[in-house]
Amino acid sequence: MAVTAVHVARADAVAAARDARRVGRSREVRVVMVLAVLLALAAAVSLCLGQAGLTPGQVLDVLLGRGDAISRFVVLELRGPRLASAVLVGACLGLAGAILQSVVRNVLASPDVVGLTAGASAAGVVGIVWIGLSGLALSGFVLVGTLASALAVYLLAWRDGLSGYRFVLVGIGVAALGTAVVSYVLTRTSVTDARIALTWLTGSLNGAGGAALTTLAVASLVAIPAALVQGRRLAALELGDEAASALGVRAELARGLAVLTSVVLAAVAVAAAGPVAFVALVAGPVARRLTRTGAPPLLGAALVGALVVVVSDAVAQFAVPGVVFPVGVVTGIVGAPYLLWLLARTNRAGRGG
Amino acid sequence: MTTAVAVDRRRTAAHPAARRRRLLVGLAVCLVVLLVVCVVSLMVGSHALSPGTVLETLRHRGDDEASLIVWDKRLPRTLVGVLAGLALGLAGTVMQGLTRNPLADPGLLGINAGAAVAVVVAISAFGVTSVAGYVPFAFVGAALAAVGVYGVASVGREGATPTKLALAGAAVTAALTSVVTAVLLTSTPAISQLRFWQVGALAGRGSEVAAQAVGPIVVGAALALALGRALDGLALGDDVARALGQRVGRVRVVAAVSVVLLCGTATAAAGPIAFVGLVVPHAARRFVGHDYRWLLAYSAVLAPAMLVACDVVGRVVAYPGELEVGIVTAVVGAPVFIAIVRRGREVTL
Amino acid sequence: MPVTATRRPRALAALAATLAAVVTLAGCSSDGGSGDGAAPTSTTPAAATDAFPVTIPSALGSATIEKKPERVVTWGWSAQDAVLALGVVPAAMPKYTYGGDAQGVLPWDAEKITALGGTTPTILSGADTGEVPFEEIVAAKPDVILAPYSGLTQEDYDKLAKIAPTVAYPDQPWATTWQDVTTIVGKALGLADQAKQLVADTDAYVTKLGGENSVLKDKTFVYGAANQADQLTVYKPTDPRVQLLNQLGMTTSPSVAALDPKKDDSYFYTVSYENVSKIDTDVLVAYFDDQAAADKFASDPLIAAMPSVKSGAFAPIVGQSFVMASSAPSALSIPWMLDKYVPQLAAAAEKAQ
Repeated sequence: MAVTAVHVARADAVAAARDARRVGRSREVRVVMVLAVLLALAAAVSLCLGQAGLTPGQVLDVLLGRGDAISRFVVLELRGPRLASAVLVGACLGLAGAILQSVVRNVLASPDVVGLTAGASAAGVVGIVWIGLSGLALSGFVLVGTLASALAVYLLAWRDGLSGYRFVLVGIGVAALGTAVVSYVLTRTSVTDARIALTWLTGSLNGAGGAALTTLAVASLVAIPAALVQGRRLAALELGDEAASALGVRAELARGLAVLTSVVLAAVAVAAAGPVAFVALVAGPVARRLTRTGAPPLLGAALVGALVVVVSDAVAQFAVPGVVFPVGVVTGIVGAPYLLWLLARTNRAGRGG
Repeated sequence: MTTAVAVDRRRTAAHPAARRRRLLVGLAVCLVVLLVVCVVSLMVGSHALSPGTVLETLRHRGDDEASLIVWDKRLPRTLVGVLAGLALGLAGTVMQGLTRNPLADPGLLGINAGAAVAVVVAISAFGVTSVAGYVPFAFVGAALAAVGVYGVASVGREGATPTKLALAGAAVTAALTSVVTAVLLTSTPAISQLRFWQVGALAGRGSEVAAQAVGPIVVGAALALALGRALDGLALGDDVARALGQRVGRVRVVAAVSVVLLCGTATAAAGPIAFVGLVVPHAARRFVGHDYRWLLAYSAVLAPAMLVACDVVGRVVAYPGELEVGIVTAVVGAPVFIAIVRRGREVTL
Repeated sequence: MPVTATRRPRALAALAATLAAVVTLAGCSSDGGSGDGAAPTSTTPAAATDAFPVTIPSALGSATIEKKPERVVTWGWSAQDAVLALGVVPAAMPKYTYGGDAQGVLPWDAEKITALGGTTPTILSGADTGEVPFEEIVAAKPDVILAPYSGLTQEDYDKLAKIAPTVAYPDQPWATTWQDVTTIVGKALGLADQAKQLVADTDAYVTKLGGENSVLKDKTFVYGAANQADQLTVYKPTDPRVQLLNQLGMTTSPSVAALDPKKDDSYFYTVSYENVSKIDTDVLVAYFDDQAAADKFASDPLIAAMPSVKSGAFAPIVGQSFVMASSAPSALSIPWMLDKYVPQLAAAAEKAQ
């Protein structure tokens, strides 16, 4: 009798868990779809905005394959590449942040904190001001710089295995070094160079297009799916190493792979658009609060990241007439209040943490 | 169970009195180091003066060049360095105890960003050009940002838990940094001046800056030092602390106020020097252990020593110019920090 | 710059771009004066028709201008000065927040535009951030884009070249002398002879001013700036500001070379206030945004102890427009500035011991 009771109880529990998972997953699917629709809307709107004076009808014409030469130039050479870069950069950054936060189990862990962005910034500033690089060469240099600083952090933090905690601490040290290099270069150069470097440092999509975009697209096409498939493994890792092993996941390997993916994603994004602030930090927590599942919301984070960057870029270009800001200026101003609002809302509902 | 017992055994291995004596001696040594560093800061600078000349000017202040250098530049600079270092070290320790997060840095409460916004406003809207002029703005900006962050984080039943503080702080910092950059990019004088202030420097901070900074820092330091036992309790977790009879909410508020006073004033006076508040408590923990009263005392002495030492290094490596202290602390501090992290065992708070 | 393989999308884009350029040029010549922005008039008889077509090489690519341009768009510094000095009002020019009036137009440009009887050109945004406002430039319907003194990247240049023939800097970004700027602009506008005359006239004017104020002859000077706390920025002989004072007959102080830590061709280095006593000079020149900043600088005990400051041989350049005039000299800004500044400089030189 007791045994049957236990069996029944266990069956009930399993059924309840399965139901909860199904509900959770359907909520996640709904959230992802809503985000995708919002992103499409934002993209359509940003294609229609600009000083070249194109009507939405003309934009539609171009998209359908017709349209006059000037319209085609504006949409396909100027606005299109910029939008594509925004989406890809946002998705990469959002994913990079979400993965790192999941692995390190600290909500503050983002490529910015762990020294990647600082390493990329240092490489970028040195490349612009001292070596005079731009475009694809600069992207390549920044990519190498980011990977080098990530490698440095990894090697310095590795001691009989990779502890997430130590990784982040060492990353902070490397980040401080990178920031010092940036400060040093900025104060030892002329104001015009400093301004150009500062624009790049803030993250700018103005140079989007051509070879840089192709590189970004190809790299994203490889890295983003590679990141998304790790979702289940990451969820297992979050339960702890023993639980993960019980579920058939090799903890150390999975962690290393996840961190590597995060680094590559961040490096690709920063190489393309400079270090766009805050997207990697905020996309994960926002997506998590929206989907409210236990698992790391990778697809949601990618979409949130893309949405933030697309909206920010539009605002950066058109909010203040006569001034064109780099997108990074706005991501902070756009992303932060939303995160604060979500934070306050969940806190009030008592679900904070 | 094994770990807890091991920790306990390590702690009480030395007799409590012997441990206290050891820590006192250590503190005295650190104090001596601080004094030596200060003397060196008076003797050494970009313009080489012989020790005899320096001693002479200290005795009789004239209006020759050496007197001007020692009295108008090096002395106030050392003073500001000691004050700022003291403030940053204490603020960092309190911050790490308050948030139970090793990533916590006083800048996390949005203080650096708030100060930077206020300084940018001072430069572009009010045309302020002197560092002493920035100080009141920076302090107000820092305080407002911290209040904002703390306010948002404390909405809800549990109050300002470490995670919520961290998130709110990161959000506000990013937003304010964006605002700063936005203003910078549209204002050449702002870029021109702010890029230097942003680095964090003790140069150009005269006696007026020191005078402005003393009051808030002394008050903040007193608050921080008094928090020692409370921070020990907090480190055990909110529930345990409450069970031990602590008013967790009140402790948090007092801690936050002290951090704002200390770090806000230090940033206002010297610009953002973010690394000192992070490294010194970690280093101190190696010698001291987890007792916050001793941690606070050691941080209060070691941090100014580190800051002034870095300033001296910055004065001599870039002749005929100087390297700002904010750059030196990062370049010197980062490898030391990394070495500490590597060599140590898993550090708990 | 890496050469990318031609792929179908790029071929299509190239075709679109060529069409765009042809259509733009055709539209401009048939449009006449239907756009805003004054129809430019040259104050001299029409240039010889064999001035066109002209090809102007630059570091980023060659520009072939088929016929005399009517709608001129400038980017970067000083180009609009040269265009105006040659009697042409640009269709669009960048905004100068620093030193410009409420609309962003520099005083000597505003005076010249009024003198030429033209309307104010479209003011382009983005000058402060270095982000090229492509769509605004498209909307301005340029025949030629002149940016000989700017920091254009290769990507910026390639995009601009699809809108209209674009002339970039001949060698390095932000390194073109004002004489070269004038010559290049003259060539692009088919006014090469006038440009040559303009350069000669301006040089002669500077030398004449030097002659009229013989107290300046062979007096040593140090040109500095007080941007950083307790550090004096010292400009080296390669800086255009220093070269202008040299043209007036003054000599760069030997201290500048003596204290230079890196004997290279950079523009400046910094000197700690502790070391300013090692500067030996007749006259000290420095620029400040306003008088308060100048006073504050002079009141620092170590600066006040400098012999040149003590004796009053201190000639500050005060005011944003002045600073801009000397930082970005041109055939227009030099006379504008020197008319007001040389008397001050001479007075200071008199007080030198």
